[in-house]
Amino acid sequence: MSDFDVIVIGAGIAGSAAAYKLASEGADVLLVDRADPGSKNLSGGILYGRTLHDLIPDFADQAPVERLISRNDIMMLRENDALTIAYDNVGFAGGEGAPPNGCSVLRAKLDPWLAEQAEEAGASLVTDILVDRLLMEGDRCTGVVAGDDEMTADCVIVADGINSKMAEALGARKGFDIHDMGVGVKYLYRLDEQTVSERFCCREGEGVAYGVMGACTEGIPGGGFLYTNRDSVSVGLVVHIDHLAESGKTPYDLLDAMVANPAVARLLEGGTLVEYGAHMVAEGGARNVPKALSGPGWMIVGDAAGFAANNGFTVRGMDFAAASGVLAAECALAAKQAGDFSAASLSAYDKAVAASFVGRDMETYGGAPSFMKDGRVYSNLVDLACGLFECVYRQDGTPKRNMLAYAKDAVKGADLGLIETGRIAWKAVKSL
Amino acid sequence: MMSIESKLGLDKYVCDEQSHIALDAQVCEGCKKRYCLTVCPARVYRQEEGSDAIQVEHLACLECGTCIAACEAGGLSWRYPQGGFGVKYRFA
Repeated sequence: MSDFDVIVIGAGIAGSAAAYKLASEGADVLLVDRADPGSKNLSGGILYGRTLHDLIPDFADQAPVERLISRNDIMMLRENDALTIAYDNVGFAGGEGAPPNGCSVLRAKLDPWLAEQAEEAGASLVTDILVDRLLMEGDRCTGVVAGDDEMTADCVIVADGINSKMAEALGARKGFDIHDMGVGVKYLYRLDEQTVSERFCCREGEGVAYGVMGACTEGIPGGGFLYTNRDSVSVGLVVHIDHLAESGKTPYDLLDAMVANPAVARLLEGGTLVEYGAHMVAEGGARNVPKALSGPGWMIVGDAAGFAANNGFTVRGMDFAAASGVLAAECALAAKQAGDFSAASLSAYDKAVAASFVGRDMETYGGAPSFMKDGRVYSNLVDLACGLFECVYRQDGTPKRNMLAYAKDAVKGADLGLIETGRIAWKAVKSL
Repeated sequence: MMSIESKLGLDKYVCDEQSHIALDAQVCEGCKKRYCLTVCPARVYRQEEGSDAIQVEHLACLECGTCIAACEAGGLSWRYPQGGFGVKYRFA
């Protein structure tokens, strides 16, 4: 007889969503974290999708989210000019039963709340406990070991994040490939609520998420982001670690340069820097995902399973975390019903992931990482777009010409042939 | 612009005297790339002028794992700090 039906390692979004689902359906769950929930977790962060809204009644009204994201802007930066495309969708804020398309969140608020929901649903939450290793009987996972304590379960859900030691111990993951990883760094600036709303032209309770490309990464593949919270702004960068390493630059120097760029600086003016953080981001699409997400007595969810997708417009991970957590919980509930936690039984989780938007999106964005690593996307295309608009708007006493002539000049100036530009654009449409 | 040290100074930490990061001095000495010196967002790894040795300031660690992905020579052993210790984000 095991101590618990399920032990969930890690009270981030994936782990707490799994524990909530399990406990709500009557399973005996232990949710264990190495710290207070949220105190180790860092996201950009926009929580996209509807999983948590579907899972938890009144999520939109109850959860400590910052702003409903109804505007998604793309900012193309050069040193002295910027081209911003603003996509505003009133419906993205949700309402009348419909969830918002996305909301900005701060993990130090969201995660404790989510863990508390799991606890109120009946899960046992234990914090400040580092799981040292998994209890194994042959290849079957039967529980966890923390210090002198052993706790047993019919099934363990591994939700210990991007640096998952447990997924490694299970042989599901074998270290990192430097070419498939990005590092994200973020500054949080405190600005009063009214200033944020006015400066970013937000409707009541709503906000904007910027994807930033161009000068902010100084030629290193990657991109920036800027998200409005209720009374703060999150601004950061995600860059590929291999190119960053070769450049010899530091991530914080890059971010300092980005926040000093005039187009970004004006949005942060008067803000007080209150926190600096970092988080590693899986950038390899399906390459980062273990071949087997489950085995006898175990399943891997969220960041620990490499579920993340960054296509330059959006950086996603929390929606995959929530969805994979729920899928694992459903699979564990079915296994409990059948009294069968074998590899064959839990492989239903792998199938469920593959059939869900999690697995599908990891495949769809499989090509994005390699496309996004084409350095030309970051400098030349941004240069081309900004250059074109500069030609159109600059009045310097020379006679104006038509758009096509300027476009030709811009392509020439961007150091790319017409055919090459078309080829990159085609690749972009296909892979993003 | 604030120094990286001042930025890390904004963050809250629960200090674990016991280091969760260890370097194999021999392996690291033979490593020409030394990516850890620049990719680490918390400047945990430093090389003193006039010395080949890499110093580790484990208390500054943001526990992101970038050094693990960037270390190709294999001189790095990295585990999580003990339960309850390390960086403690107040907003994130």
